[in-house]
Amino acid sequence: MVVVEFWYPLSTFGVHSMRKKLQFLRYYNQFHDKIFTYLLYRVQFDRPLAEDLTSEVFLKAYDKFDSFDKDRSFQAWIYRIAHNHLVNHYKGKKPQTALEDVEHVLEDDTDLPQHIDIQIDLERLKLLMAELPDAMQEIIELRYLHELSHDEIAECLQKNVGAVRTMLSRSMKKLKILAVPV
Amino acid sequence: MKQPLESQLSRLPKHTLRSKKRWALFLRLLFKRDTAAHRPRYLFPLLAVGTACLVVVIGGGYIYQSPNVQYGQSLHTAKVRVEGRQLARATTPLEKVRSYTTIANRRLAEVEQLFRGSQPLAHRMLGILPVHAAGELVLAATTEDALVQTIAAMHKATEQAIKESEKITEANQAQEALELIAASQDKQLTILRAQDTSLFGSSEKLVDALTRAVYHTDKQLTDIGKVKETIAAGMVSQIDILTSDEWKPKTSEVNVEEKRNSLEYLRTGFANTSVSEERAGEYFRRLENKIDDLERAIDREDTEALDDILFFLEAYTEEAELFFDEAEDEELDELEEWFEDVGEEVMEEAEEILDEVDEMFEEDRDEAFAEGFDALEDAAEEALDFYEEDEYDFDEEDEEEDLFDYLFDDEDEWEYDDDWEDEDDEDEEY
Repeated sequence: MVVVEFWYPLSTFGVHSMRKKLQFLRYYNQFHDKIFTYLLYRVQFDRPLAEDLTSEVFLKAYDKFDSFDKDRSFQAWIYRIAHNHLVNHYKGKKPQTALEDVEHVLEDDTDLPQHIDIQIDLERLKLLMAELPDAMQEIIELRYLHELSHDEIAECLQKNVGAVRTMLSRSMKKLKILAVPV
Repeated sequence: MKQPLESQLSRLPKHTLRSKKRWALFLRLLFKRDTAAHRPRYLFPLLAVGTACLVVVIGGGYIYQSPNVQYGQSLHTAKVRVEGRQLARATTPLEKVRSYTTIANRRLAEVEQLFRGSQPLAHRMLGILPVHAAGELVLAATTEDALVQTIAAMHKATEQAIKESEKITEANQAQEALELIAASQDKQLTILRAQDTSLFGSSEKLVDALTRAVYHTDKQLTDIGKVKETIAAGMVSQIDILTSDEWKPKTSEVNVEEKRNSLEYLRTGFANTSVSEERAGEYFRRLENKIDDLERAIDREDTEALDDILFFLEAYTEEAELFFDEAEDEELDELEEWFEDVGEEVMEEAEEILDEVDEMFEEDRDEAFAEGFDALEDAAEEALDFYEEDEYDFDEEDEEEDLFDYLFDDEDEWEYDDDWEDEDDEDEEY
């Protein structure tokens, strides 16, 4: 019986599943902290919630792993699942700012210098970030904290790359305005 | 060039999952059942090591410590096996005395637990013992009754401890050994008497009778040789399944004795190494070598070598079990770091070999294997059913009851949550 218990994982998985499992576990090892960090920032640093959501994201991703196109970026794919999972999680719970809602926030702010040089400490930066709408925070974090490319952010947020560039630029502008001492 | 603000943004703190959460999720992913349509076709032991050691992590702590795991339950065999390995690691007579008295005390804890659970059959049987004495005890000891068997195992361990103590030549050690044995026996008599004075009125006589009875029965697994034989027999039966039909003519006869000796050799070697990341590293290095061997055997279609490798992989699993039994959190962290460097390569190699195995077995062996795998799948289902019977819930919101807390806490029970499914499936398709 003991021997049987040892064999349990293999006897239920088979070669195909085991290969898939190996590959996914390798991605898991690579990305669990990144996804956790992403979710932690998105849930206002509620650690237990972020841990639960991280589990859910990876379990969901595992279920959908067969549909993942191996030629594309896993990073973009897993962030996209995390993003969508968060949207679902907050559905009906908390008003979310959609990207579209904040796209025109800075249309009239044209008086900001082109190459503004702002030096602020991390603590203040965190406070300033918190003043931004959710969607702006998210896009900034994806770009600079998680270092996703514009293409990857576009895939994650299901937008076109042009829209992502514009939104990122506006978000940064807004952040800089907040950062400039009055 | 980054502006200072962008640069600052990239320095926002990055957080990490707690080690226990990370492992818990790893386990859940590992044991998550596939929702894809691919039915498992083959069973191949190559990756058994990595996965099996995690199986053992789940069960190990609980099985080993808990008196709730009793004779007649499948996990009791595992418990006795772990004890067997501890015995194997004891090199001096005094160490053996310590091990045997620990075992006797553990059996005693089980006896207490059985009394609490009320065992009418056992009481009836033991009730006649003072009257009919040894003759009935022989009969009783050959039954499968949990209480009788556990008491007999307890006394057998005590007997062994006494035998070992007689080999000690150094006075201080002999004294320590005798104190250990005396303390254990006192406790045994106290508890047996306390249960029912009418049944155990002449406890000493009962002890003698039971001890004699034990000599007449060969059903106990506390003897290490017996344990090895059981393990070897289990492995051989697994190999038999895999080597059925068309596969069989090509397969060598499985030499049980030889394999048992090899297992003993591995155990002895392993007993001299302390539990550390170094040990886990060594274990994986040897696994790497075996994977090389396996690759060569596949090239040659050398089924005899494949059999041997299968055996060794099982043996390494035993080593992994020992490691996880004794590992501390820090060691698990170290192992994880190490695994990121070395384990990754092993996994890559394993994947490549799986490709080859796939090709090699693709042709017309499917049918022959299918039968064996079905049998193993059934057995695995049974094991799973067993896990599902318990009560640990992965969805438990209370953080403190996370998986690892459970694993290393012998009081808790747990359940493999097989039914984890996200209910929000209305979101996007990927």
